Amino acid sequence: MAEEQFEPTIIGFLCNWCAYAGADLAGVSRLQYPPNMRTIRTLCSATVGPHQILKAFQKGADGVFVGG
Amino acid sequence: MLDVGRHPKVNVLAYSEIREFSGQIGDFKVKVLKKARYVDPSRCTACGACAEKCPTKVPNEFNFGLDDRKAIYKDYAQGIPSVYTIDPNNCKVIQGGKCGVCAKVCQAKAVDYEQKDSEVELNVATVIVSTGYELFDATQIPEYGYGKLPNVISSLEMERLLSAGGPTKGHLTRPSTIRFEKRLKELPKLIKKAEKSEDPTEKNKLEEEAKWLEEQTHKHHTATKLGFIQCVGSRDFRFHKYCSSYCCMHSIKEAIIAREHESSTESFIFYMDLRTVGKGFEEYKVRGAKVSGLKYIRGRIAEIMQDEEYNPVVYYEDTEQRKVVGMSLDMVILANACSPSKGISQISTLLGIELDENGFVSTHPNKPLDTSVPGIFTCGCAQGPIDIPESVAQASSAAARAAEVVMTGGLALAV
Amino acid sequence: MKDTAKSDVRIGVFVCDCGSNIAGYLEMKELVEYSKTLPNVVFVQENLYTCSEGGINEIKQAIPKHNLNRVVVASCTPRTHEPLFMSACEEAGLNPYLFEMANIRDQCSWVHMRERETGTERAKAQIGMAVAKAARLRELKRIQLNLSHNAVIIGGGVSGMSAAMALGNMGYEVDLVEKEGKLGGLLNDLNMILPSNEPPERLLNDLVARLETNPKVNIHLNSIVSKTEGYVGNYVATISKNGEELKVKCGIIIVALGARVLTPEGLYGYNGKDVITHLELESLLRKGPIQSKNIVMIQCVGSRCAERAYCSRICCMTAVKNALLIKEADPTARITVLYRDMQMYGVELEEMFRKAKQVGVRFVTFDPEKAPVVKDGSVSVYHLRMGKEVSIPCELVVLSTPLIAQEDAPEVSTMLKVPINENGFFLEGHVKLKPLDFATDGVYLCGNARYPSTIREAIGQGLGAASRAAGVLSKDALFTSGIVADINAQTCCGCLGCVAVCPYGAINFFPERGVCQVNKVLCKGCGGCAATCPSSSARLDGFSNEQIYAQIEKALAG
Repeated sequence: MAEEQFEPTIIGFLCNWCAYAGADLAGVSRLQYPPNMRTIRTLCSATVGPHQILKAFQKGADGVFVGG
Repeated sequence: MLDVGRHPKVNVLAYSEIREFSGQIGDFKVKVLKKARYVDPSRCTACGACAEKCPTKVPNEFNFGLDDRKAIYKDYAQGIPSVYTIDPNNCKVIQGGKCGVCAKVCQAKAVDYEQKDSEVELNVATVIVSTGYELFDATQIPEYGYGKLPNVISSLEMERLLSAGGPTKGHLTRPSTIRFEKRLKELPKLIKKAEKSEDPTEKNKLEEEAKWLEEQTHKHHTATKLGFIQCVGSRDFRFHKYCSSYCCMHSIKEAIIAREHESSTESFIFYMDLRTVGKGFEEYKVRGAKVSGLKYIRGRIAEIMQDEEYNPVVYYEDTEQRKVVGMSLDMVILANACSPSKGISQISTLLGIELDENGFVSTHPNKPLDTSVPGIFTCGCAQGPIDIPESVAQASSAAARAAEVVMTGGLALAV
Repeated sequence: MKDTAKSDVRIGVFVCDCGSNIAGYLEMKELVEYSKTLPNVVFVQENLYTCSEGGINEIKQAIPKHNLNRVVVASCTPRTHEPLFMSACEEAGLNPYLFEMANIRDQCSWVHMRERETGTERAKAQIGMAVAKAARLRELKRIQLNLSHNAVIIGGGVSGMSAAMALGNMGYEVDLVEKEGKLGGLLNDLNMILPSNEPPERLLNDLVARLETNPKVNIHLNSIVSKTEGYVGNYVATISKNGEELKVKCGIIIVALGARVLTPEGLYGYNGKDVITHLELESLLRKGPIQSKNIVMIQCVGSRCAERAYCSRICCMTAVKNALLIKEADPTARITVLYRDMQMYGVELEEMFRKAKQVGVRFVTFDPEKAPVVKDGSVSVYHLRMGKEVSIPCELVVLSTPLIAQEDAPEVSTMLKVPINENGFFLEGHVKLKPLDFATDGVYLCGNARYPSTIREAIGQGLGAASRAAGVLSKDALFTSGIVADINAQTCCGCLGCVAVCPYGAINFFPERGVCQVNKVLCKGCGGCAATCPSSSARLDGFSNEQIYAQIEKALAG
């Protein structure tokens, strides 16, 4: 039996002014990447505190991406 | 740019040209030609379905022909206004042929092959000329081989190669390799054709070629030994005697970014004076040498040759070592001069503003934003080579002069 | 904390096809059906283009019809379309901050074009997350504030004067504050200005005369701004003159402090007599032609070195200017400029450089590792082109020293809560995009206080700062954004963590109450305070922990 491939769920905190805009640009440029990320827009990566990152892991995230 | 596009008080007339101009400070009349886009901008949502399906490929000017665009296109992804445009010279329908694919796939019904150029008349108190510059055409310097040697490129081509949104997605693939890869894709067909027509010599030749190209693309895929040549067309009596101001820093920046992409990159910057006059520039230059392995060589390149593997070889006098040196590189990037924009002479005639001997808009050192016509101001590279921070600052300055006119009806034109 | 996702929350979800941009790559039916199952969702609508007039009208009609009190649009990016949908909500009588977007195009259908199934899963998650957040959105208000239309400019040099002139001409009341007894700053000490080839008095007198007659400009000489209170639109600046204090209200403040020339004590035998600075040379030249026949100028004295890493931009051109003027007065003078790189950038300067070479000024590069040595009656230097030490006889050595920050720059920086860099020059909001702004609204920057600049550049920057300032002064009222931070005074322990991280100087500490408070006018909604606050007293409305936790939970629920 083939092993089921591991598909991680990644929570991405993206700063509205840079990383989120970059993710939009990836879309406009049709750059393809795996659909494992769930993005949360923040107004600045400074908003992302340790509590939020820990919360994500606590709830079962396999990875957290902070882009800013 | 997004802010300008969305600003309620800014009316962007892109893809437009000034046709007629008259009047005086406080009361200028401007006739603007809005060129037909063959797309209704009020309907187009810039979804891009049209460009995806359009069958006509055209070399992409924005990426200097390093890749292709379609006949219905947007200059680049983030462009404002966010509207597609049909290039009438390449669209089959507009050229009288059959196609109509874009109109068919456009669910917003924005495509209009019958659209005509239109004219807009404006009545304004003041005008700002910010027409920018033109990249110096390096084919004028035959000894540098630009346009002939594939791995000798301009500073802006380098910019596109380094861009994540560019033709190579930011990977520094050698332009010769880009060509080889294209040719490699064609070859199997040609080999089959030769097979069919029972031409073994031709087949052999093509197979040899394929083998060589395969080897070459493998061996020289990524450019990691880079030469940056400063003052290409500037500080040169044959072309522009002025200094283009921003190129030294531009080359240093490109070299540092290339190193960020590929840590084995080695860059040599050939210069006359390294002009690092802006805030933080000298520090950046020093960091480039310390952290990014940039080597600065004082010497002007006399000639660029090429070896049999398409590696550019530069010859120069190292003035600090007092000897003539030849150096083989993977790629050479020219720091093209900032030339006056081609349309500036026409605009200056229409507006009646004076140009200096180089073709930039003339200004006085004590009135740096004022042209020779009261109420018409200028900023950015239209008035001479200038880097980004100074250009942004100048834009605000020109806006201040314009505001003085608007808010006082042109009475208080002081400073 | 009270759960705001109450049962009376009624959410409407609008799912956009974007033509085929979304519908071509994701299962729209599945998205619509899934949306219907989400808590608090009472209405779901699929649109061909939600942003079209038709789509906007459908939102506006659905709000009253289905009694919606939250709206979610699943379409493109909020970076371009959020304002449009927010105003649609507002027009339908809903507080615009009760709106949320799910980005299922730019960050979903366009980047997962070959993964229909998993792409649709991601879109579902993003919609679910947006709905979870929407359920916890609160009404937010933009606060309206009146403002003063006056300006205070600190520094009466050429850039400050230019700024004052521009603002005065635009009709704003200006207080121009100069610490010396006369306007003009460094301009007063110069001999001639090139390339305009005129004495500085011409420009200076013209500017001063026009400022003095401008009814909108009040000039304060021998004065400093000793204190400022308030924020954009509503500053009170205290102007002190010989112990007397004058309080003026103003909407903005421009920093035009200028800079001063470094005195090179201990470098190259500087003595102020036969080893002098260019500024000293200029004051000699003002008195008449100089007697020295053999002159050596040395560049980068005290700059581009370990102690002061920056290039001072204007020293090369000053040396070339003075060399040209000396040569013009006495063509037999022998001038040698020892330099590292001649920073003669642009059109005019390169032309000056060329002229200097034409009239016979000699330029010799040196390696900073083998710096020139000034001896009695000569300068010796390792000549890179010849590969050997050479000795140049001279009677006068002129040192090019950099402009350095004003002594009072740190005080002004503290007073206005705007930063300075390691060299004491003021640090602009963004080196490329906001060269004349600070991160803090209402304070602007120009001239040598920012970085050494030419007269042309200083005039330009003065006008530019005026233009940036006019952007505020021309408004009838200021509006805060709805998305700002708030600090719960009940739980704040006054640790000042938020004050330290706020880049906009928007948080004040009130020692008498022991709490911090957000100035909502200055707050840009970055949320740095909320992330730092150990007691969770600081909260960013619209991006609160509760809302983000709800998004995280929803994302990981399925």
